[in-house]
Amino acid sequence: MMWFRLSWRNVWANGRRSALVLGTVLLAGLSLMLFAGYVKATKIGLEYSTIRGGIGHLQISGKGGFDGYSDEPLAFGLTPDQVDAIGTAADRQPNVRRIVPRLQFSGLVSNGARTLSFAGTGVDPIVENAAFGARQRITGGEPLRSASPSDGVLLGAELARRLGVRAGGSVTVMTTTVSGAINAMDMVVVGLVSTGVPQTELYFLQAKLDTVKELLATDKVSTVAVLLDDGADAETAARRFEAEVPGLETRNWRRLSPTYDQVVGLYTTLFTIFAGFIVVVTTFSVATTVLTSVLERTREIGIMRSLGISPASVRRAFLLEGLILCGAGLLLAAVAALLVGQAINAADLTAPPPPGRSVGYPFRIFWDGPAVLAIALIVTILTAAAAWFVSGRVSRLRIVNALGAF
Amino acid sequence: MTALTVSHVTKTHRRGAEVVEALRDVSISLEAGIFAAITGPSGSGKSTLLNVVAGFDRIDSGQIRVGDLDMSAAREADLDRLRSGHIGFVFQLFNLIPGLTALENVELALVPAGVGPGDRRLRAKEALERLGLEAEGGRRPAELSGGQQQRVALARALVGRPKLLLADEPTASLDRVNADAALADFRRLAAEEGLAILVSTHDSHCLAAADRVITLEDGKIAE
Repeated sequence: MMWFRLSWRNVWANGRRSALVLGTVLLAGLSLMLFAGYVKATKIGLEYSTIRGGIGHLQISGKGGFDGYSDEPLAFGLTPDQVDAIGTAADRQPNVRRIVPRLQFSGLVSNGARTLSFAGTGVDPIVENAAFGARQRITGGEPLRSASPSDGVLLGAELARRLGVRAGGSVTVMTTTVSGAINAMDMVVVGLVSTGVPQTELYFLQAKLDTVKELLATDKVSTVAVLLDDGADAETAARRFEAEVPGLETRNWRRLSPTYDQVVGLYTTLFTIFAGFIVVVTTFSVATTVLTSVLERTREIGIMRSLGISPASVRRAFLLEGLILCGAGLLLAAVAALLVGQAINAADLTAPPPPGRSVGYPFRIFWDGPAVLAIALIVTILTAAAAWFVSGRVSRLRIVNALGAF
Repeated sequence: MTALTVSHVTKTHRRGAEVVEALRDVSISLEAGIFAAITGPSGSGKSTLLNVVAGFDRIDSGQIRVGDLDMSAAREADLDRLRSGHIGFVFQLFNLIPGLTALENVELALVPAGVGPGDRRLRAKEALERLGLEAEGGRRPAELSGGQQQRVALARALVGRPKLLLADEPTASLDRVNADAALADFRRLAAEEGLAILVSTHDSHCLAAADRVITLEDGKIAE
């Protein structure tokens, strides 16, 4: 307690210098905590937008459906029996929220004057909208609903622009059946969709599942997307589906969308580099202050040593001084990070669109407790190490010199 | 009982290229209960002798024994223990720590001996009371007069119940009244508590009050 009192008073006795160190630690801690909060918000946002954007927590197809190749269309598709079995298995899993069957197809879409290629999906509007509808941005017309006409189709905004069609217009959709014959259907454009990614908007086409089955002359679907409760483990659910329904193959959302891991990896690297620089600068700042304190208080060190206080104990007093400043700075930084984060979130800012996208995303900063603790721990350890290192002069001081006798 | 034995001690200092012989073959011994004063002109080696006896500095040759410990061969940790329990030191400029109160300055001397916080406070209060400073315990050194600071420094030197008390020019920074009071304390401590006391001084009153006077000239005993 006595050492704490002495260190505490020394902190106050050199107010300006202490304020400088406190400010350095505060700013360093604040910037690191905000950055960590931004990375966390990005991870959560990216995970949410990936899963809710249509991929789901996992997808199911027939064996070989994700990596296999076959000349036969829908060779890895799921039969109606398999889809039913998946539905039964899903009912037995309490954390499965929805299963969403889909039929992928491709072909040409034409307005008569222009013909463009598309990559389309046949969906059940009820389950599709319930699972992923909230994320769909309709820029014209309306979403595909169960009440929509059976020949209704949603087009990507860019595809529609290039075709020169609007909601309410009609297009001809051409594709090949599973047996290889060409099939076509005149369809009504019920709405236009912006995916936020210009490249996918150019090929986006969505129609009712039964219509697409008819167009492709099949009763199969390509995949079933599975939406789980938030926080549920996709891999565990996948293993259970594979165990309960033979002939299935599953893939979780992170494997289906490697972008997530790439972005998280990039941000983590940036954070590590940024944190490294900040921590080094902070450590040097605290070390310089402690060293100045040691030099200024050489006589005091001599007095303590003359009383029989060991060099290690004297050094502990300087260490404590550094830790008081560091602890106070980090505490203030944590409070400031919480307040600044809340203020930024309340301001509802939008970040500019990232490369390859046409729509910005909400700029959010979340409170990342483990990261804040880790930052505090690392800064504290390095500060303590720096203070201990520079106070090493205490051990080398001869008492008679420290007292100023010679 | 011999509290201090200094045998053939030599100590040199370097001042740039110059080598100064501060102590040359100095030998003295001091019994418990004796108040001894070292005098001599400035630069004669008085402070150096006190510093080496206190273990603040190492000697070049010879031997110093305080109690049972041969200081010339002792490790730093042994010297720390000696200073915390066996030797008390009063500095000319008192050397109180400005950030601590009078009571805390006295308490600090008990920290290295491992005395617990409760006992420490009690003993520090008693030490201040014995020197008439019970009301000044909560004050910082800057709020005390020179005489009061000197008594706090004396309380700090005595709180560890040392066998040997060393004081460097203890009256030099005091007015006559406070100086005489300090000398009375030294005499009482030697006579009543059996302390061996060794002070360096130019003060004739101090020399008169001492049981024994040792004169140093050019680092040598001239008595």
